[in-house]
Amino acid sequence: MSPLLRIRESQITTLRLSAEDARVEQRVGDLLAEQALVVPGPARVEPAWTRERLRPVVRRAVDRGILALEDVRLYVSLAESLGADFEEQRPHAWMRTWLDDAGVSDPVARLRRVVNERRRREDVVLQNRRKEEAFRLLHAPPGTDT
Amino acid sequence: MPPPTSGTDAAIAPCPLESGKGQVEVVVVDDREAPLSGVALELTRLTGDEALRTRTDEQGVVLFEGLEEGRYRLRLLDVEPALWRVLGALELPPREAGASARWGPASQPKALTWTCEGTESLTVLAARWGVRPSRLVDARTGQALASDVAPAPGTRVVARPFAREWVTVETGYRQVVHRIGIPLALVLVLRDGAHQPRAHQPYLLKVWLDDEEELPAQEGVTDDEGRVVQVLPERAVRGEVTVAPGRPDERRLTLRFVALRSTSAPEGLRERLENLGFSCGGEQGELGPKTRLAVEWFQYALGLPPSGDVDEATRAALGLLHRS
Repeated sequence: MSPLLRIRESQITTLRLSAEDARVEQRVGDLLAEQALVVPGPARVEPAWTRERLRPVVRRAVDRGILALEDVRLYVSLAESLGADFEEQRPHAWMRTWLDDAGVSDPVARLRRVVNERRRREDVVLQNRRKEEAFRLLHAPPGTDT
Repeated sequence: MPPPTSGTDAAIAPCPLESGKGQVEVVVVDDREAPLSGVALELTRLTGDEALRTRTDEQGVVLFEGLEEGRYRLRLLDVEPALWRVLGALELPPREAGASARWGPASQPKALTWTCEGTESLTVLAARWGVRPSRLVDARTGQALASDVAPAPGTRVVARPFAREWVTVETGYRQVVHRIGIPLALVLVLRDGAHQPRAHQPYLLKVWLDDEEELPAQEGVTDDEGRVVQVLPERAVRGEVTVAPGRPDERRLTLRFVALRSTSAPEGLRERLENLGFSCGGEQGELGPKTRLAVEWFQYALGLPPSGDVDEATRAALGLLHRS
C-alpha cells in the first residue's frame, strides 16, 4: 500500500471517530435538555444524569449503531430504570447478549426486541407470583398461614 | 446494474427511493404447530454475498421487506438441516412497500465444540446445539460417543459439520417452516419419609432457562407413582417444585437439569443430593455438618453404612441414582 493511501485511510478513520464523538455529544446534549423538562418517575434507579455519567451510556448505544434520538432515548431509559451498568448486572446479562445478537442484523430491531422481551419477562414473573399465591390458597388446609 | 444497497455503515440512512416492494414472510412453528419465537433466520441474495438476519417475534413471524422482487435463499441459523423443513408457501396479500432492506455481510459457520465436565450426557448437549446426538463425536479420535452416558471429564466433543442447506424463496410468499424439536423430559419421583410415593399431590413447577428467563409456572398433580412429568425446553437449566403447600409435609425442591459439576466437587455432590430430596441446608464451599447429615440420610436410604463420609461407593451410588 502506498504511503499516500495509508495517510488517506488514517484521515478517514480520524474523521469517522470525530463524527461519532460529535454525534454522542449531540445526543447527550439533547437528552440533558429533555431531562430538565421531565420530573423523574418512580421506576428510576439512576439519579439525575450528568453529562459525564450519560456520555458512556450514549456511547454504548451509538457504538452499536443506535443513532436516532428516539432510539438512543429508549436505550438510556433502560439504563435509567436498571442502572447505568445494567449490561454488566447478572440478572440483565441477557440484554447484552440480545443487543449484540448476530442473529439480528438491524441494531435498532435488537434494541426493540430487548425492550419488548423485558416487558414480557416481567409479566411472566408477576403472573407466576400470582399463580403461586393462588396455588397456596387453593391447596393449603384451612387455618394454615400461607 | 447491481441491485442498490444501503451499505454496511449504519450511520448512512437508507435512501427511500431505493426501497423495494418485495416481501418475504416466514412463520416458524414447532412440533405442535405452535409459533416459535426467537428463531434466527438468514435471507441472502442468490449470489450469497449479502444477508439479512433477524429473529421471529412472539407470533413466530419474520417479515423481510424492502426487497427487490425476485428469488432469495433462506435458512435457519445454526440449526441442523435435518431439524427444519418448509411445510409450504402461501401467497401474501398486497401490502405497502416497507423500509429499504439493510443488507449486511453473510454469516460465517461456527465451529461447535465443547469440553465435557463429565456430567452432561450427549443428548443434553445435542439438544442445546440443535443437532442430532449421532452427529457428536470425540474430537480427538473421531469416534462416535454413547448418547445416554456422560463422556469422561475433559473429553472434547465436536459436532460433525453438516451441509449448509438453503431453500430458495420468492418475494410475495409466506413460508411456513417447521422447526423439529428434540424434547427433554423431566421425570421426578416424589417420595415421603417412609419412601412411599407421594401420589395425587398438587405441585407447582417453575423453570428457568440458561439466561435467567423464568417460564410460566406449571401446575399439576403427581400420578399414582408420585411422578411429576413435564417436557422441558432445550435451554432449561434449573427449576423449583413445590408440593403440598401449607401442609406439614410441604416440600420445595430446587432442581438443576444440566451442567452438574462432578461428584468429586462439593457443589456437584450437593446438587445431586438436593435433586434427590436430601437437603444440604444451603451450605456452600467445603462439606459442612448439614451436607454430611444429608449424605448420612442418603446412605441410610440406600442401605449403605451411614457414616456421612463421601466414599467411592457413595459417589457411585449417587451418580447411578441420579443418572448423571
